[in-house]
Amino acid sequence: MYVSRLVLQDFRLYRRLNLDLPHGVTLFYGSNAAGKTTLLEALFYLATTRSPRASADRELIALEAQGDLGLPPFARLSTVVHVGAAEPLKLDVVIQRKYGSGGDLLPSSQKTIKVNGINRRAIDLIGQLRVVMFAPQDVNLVTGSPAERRRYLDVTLSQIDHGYVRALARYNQVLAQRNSLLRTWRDQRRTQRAGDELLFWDEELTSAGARVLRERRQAVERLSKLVQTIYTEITGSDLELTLRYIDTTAADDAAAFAHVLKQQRRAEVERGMTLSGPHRDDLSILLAEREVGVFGSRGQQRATTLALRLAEAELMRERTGDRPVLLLDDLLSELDSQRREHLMHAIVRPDQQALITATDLDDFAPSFLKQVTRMHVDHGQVFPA
Amino acid sequence: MAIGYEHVTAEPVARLIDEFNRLPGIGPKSASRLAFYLLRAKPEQAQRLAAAIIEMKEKTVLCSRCFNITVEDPCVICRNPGRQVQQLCVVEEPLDVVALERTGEYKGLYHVLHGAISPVEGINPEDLKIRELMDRLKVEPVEEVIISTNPNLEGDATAAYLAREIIPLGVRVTRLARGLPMGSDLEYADEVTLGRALQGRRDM
Ligand SMILES: [Zn+2]
Repeated sequence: MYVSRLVLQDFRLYRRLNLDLPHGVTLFYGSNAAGKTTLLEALFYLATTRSPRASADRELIALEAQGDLGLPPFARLSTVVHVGAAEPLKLDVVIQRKYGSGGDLLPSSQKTIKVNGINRRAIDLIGQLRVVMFAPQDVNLVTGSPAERRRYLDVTLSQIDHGYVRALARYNQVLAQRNSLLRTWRDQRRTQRAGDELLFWDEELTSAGARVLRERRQAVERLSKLVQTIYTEITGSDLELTLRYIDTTAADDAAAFAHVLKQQRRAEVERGMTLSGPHRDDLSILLAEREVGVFGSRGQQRATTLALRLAEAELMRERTGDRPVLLLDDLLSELDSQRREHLMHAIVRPDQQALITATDLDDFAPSFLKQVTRMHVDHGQVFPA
Repeated sequence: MAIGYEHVTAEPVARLIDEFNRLPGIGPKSASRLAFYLLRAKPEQAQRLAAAIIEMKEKTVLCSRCFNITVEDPCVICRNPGRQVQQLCVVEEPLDVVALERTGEYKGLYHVLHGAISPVEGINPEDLKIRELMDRLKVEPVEEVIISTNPNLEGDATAAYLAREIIPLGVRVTRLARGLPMGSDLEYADEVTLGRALQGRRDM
């Protein structure tokens, strides 16, 4: 899979961009804040309808953006995706601010999504373009909070499996409703008939939740094998790297999950929230049976992170039969020569599109530079090198 | 940082634009277009529009039986002796009654809940016309309640709640068939689809 074009309008510092992208490896270089990462962010957004930097959508709209007369400011992103011999797909996203009833700009924004010119829901866009993003802050995957690791699994599985996107969306919707209900009861000290009214939400939560759990467990089992192989390749060490899904419900199916909810009902009403389920689970990352995030050296943590991302790409290839587009943000300067060598090897091969950003071309071997397309990025503009 | 029309537009026009802008489905652009259209229209047209709005607010009430919007209470459907009193169709909004009437398939009575259960929006069963529905079931000879709430999460939650309340009364409870697109609104479904959903309704 590869993208042949990226079009941006009023997306962060890009007022207008119409960029043709080659099939292979493209290296974007330029000074800090020139807009290199924004190019990768745009493609990540087109793949997942989210920014990899967890900011509000409205921040993506250029400050100078002007809507047409009477229309709120908006940003536009567009790309063309090629998969095998199939007709290319055109993906469009417009992110637009909203006016309040007094004509003031609201903090919220809305997005309009089109696939081949036809309006689609966000969940129907996800998976049309598959990307794996490597970012400097990725080490948070290993050292950060469980939410980072749940996001890793969710972003990966959402791009692979449309059913997963739907189940996860449903789960989150039901979870919000159920938590509101529990909060109301806690605040009103109302426990009478709580079980009755929860019945519907419990059924919905457990059936969507069981699907999410099943997919995550299955993926972790495979990812665990993949990271082990990749870690050995990158580091040459024979330490065992394994992943283990940490399940707050310990439930194998919807019925078991429902049983857990029933048992903790009193506690949930007291606390006003749903206490276990996929939204509280975690992924344990172990090197020789010890948490890498806690006991690993900085070098081991970096190598583990790299292995997690490469495993993510490999899982996507296995499950879809197609390599995702790799987005590597300012990564190579942090890696030692052995790891860099391995990464380069993974990137420069047929049928693999990769977009790389860097501040300094000196980080790259001349042999590598010969195989890639170089583009210079400066103040929201891209120039051929 | 507003749209900017306040600065250049006469205050009464700006005020009307604001009012239009508050209406559902009307953005700032349509709001200004409507306001400037009326500015140029004949005075009688503006009068008629204003009078129609006021009359609608003054002359309509909720039917005391089915809670649909009506001029006379009870409403025309509740007063019609030709309707089948054994069937009662429960909907979220008055517009859903319009949609179901358009199918020509349904001859029973209605009950309008005025919303659906959504704890996130603070809408709980007691905020809907559910107690009134239960009261009706005690005195009216209803044999079947057809739950026609929207096929989305909130509509499903409302249906599940109603089924649990009503089934113990010994009344049959059915739900519209799943032919309707998921997450859609009843009022936007076409007559054929809606008619089919009505015929294919299932026991809950
Ligand atoms: Zn009536």
